[in-house]
Amino acid sequence: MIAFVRRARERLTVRGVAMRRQKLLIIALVVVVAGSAGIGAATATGLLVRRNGAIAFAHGNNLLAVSLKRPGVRRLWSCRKPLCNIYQLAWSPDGRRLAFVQGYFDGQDPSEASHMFLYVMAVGGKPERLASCGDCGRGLWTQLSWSPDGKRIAYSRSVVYSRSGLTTENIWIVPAAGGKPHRLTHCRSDCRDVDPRWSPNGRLLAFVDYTGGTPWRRVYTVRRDGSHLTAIANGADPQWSPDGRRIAFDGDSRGVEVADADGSHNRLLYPQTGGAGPGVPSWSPDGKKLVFFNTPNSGSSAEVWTINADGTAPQRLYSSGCCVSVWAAPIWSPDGRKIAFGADAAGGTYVLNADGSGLKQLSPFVSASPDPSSMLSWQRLPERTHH
Amino acid sequence: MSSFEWMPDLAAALDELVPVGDSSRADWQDVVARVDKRRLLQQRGRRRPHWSLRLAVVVALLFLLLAGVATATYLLVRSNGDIALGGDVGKLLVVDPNGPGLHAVAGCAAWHPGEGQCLVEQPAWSPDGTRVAFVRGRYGGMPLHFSLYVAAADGTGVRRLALCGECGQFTVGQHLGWSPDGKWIAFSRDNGRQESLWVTAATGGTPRRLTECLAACRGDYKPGWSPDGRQLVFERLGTTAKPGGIYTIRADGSGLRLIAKGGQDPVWSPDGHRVAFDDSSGIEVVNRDGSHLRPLTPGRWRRGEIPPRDPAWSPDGRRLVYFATPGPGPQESFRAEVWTMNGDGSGRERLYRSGWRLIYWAPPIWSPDGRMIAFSVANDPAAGGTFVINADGTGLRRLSSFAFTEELSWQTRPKG
Repeated sequence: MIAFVRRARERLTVRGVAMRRQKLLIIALVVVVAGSAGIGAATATGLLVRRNGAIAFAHGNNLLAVSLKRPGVRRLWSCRKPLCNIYQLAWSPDGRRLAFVQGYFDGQDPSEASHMFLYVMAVGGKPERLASCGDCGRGLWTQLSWSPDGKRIAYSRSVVYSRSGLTTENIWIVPAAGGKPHRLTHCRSDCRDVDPRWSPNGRLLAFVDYTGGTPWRRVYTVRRDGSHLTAIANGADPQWSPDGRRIAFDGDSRGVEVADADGSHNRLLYPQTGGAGPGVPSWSPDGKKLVFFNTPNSGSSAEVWTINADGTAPQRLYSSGCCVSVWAAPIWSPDGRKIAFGADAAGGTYVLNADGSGLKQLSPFVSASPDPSSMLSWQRLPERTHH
Repeated sequence: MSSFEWMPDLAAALDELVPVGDSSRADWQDVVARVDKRRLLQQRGRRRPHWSLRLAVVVALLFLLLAGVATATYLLVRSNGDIALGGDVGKLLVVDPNGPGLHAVAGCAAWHPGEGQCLVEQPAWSPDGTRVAFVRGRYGGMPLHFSLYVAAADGTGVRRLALCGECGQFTVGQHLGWSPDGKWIAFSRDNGRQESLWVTAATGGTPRRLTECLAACRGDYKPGWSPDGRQLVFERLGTTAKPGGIYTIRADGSGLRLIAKGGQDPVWSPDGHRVAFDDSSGIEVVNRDGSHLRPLTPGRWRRGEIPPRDPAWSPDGRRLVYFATPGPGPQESFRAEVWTMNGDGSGRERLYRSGWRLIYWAPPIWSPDGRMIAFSVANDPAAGGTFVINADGTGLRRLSSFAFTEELSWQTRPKG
């Protein structure tokens, strides 16, 4: 009996040693793997400066792109049918595809009743039609929004009710690889839901609901399953902070405002001074600053401002001569070092450093689409590291 | 002491006497004496055992009883471990309900300007509490896909089990299902268009397909193993032409069966006989074969209102906890409520109610011992957070102010 116990004990000790050896081996392996991974990551971050890609914008029936690296304007796509225009556009999060809206707006072409469509185009490929979207929110400031994982596109789609002749718009979602679109919002009459903005964690969408009543427009959030529609504030142009905790927007009474994602703690960032600004805020990629457009007085110059996210240190980066009528909202480069914008008063599309230096004209064009304000979309080039 | 008790013997004796045919007094005396003698003999035969033997038997019985109770307690009553939270802060967050604050494990690599958020979602502790599975990925980088991982309980030894693309992230809810024996994990995996269910060994290996989501199917989500490990229940998203619902399927991929049309968020009862789920009329329960469908939270909901959802069974299978979001309220927003009720829908009780402006939440889950309930509610940052509350509604405690999560998982404290 004693011998048996001793043998069992011996066996256990042997196993314990083996286990300890195994553990050591695992630890060593982990150290080696972690070390090499760290070296790999360091090398990768050292070598791979996150490159800014091309800035895309629409100009009539052309989809154009400019790059800081190359001179000149590159044509990505042209819609060759007469009267055809390209309106909204957005690079996918991985920078490999471009979504845009193309077609005829109401009354232009009687032969084609429902007129505009959402397309997606791989760089160097041909556009594929994803969905019909009617007016697609045209006439209101609206943008396409890629889900942060690049799998879906949210857009505004109009329905004309034959009885009343009223148009309503709702937010729809379609898989970017093609598939059946589904409706996210359900506004029924005298309302237009436009400008969807996917939250950085992909769980919520912010959008703007325009109505015929008061308040005339409102920022809402909705869950990705279409439930829990929640009013955030009276205003438009919602922009999620990169961490998804706050939303900046054009407040209708005060100026550029920032609220927590649930609509609480609403605070004024930069007050309204008259004219058409300030507006269309955009967060820097690190979430520390915002850039916005301002036209201090009606029919005046175009101005680009930055401000800290807490409302301190407003700084005017650019001011054009008189008088602005067509403009493109300022946006940050993916690496956060530069800002691009466009204005007819400035004479084209420009890029400058985030501190206001190094102004450079990229193209003599500013979008001449029927919308008074056009948009730019800055491509983020594919990255090879980090997972 | 009665003659009545004597009767059988007496009767027997009298029977013996009958052939004699004599009933004289002497004979009678003789009969009584014989009967007495026989009783005496019988008593001697049934002599009581020695006291030491009796003591030994009693001790042995007591010991067996104690051992049985201890084993049963060990096997059945599970003790509470840590709570894992999904989130968008690039780490798997873990909170000890009795300890201080959150700690983070198994994170993504450091963030660089221009990259999207790193999400660690769908935490799921293994049934024995020694491992945790989760889905992790970073938006904006390449590749865009998320993967399924498993790690030890302390967050070390992170191992990638499978690439799963979207991994069911677009639908709201828990998407990882551990088999009861802890050997397998079921998950949603997308092929670019639809998502089907796959199963992988928790130790690694080639995943195998469980369901095939084809035409008129937008995705299969939220797999849950039956307690006997033979079947899985899941939610299929359909189209307007062919609505989805709650399906069961055998673990080998055969025997697909629709048990309830149009439902979501299915959960097996601990006895494995029933499945609770939610749909447009609130919480419902159906037998595992699809029979006897019954609503547990009857009511009517106007447009914009949302019926109760996200049921979860208590470990003893007697009660359900669920989440309600009354509203829209005065600020066109919603509030959160946590309710419990019996398995038949009776005895409804509200445990918690938040303020308005609800944005994120993690639906309530039971502690492994069934005494507490955990949930997350983000509304007012001062009042929101991740909470535990006793199952009777007392003792609300905020474990952390972090609430940007949609899933919680409560660890069963590992044995030994």
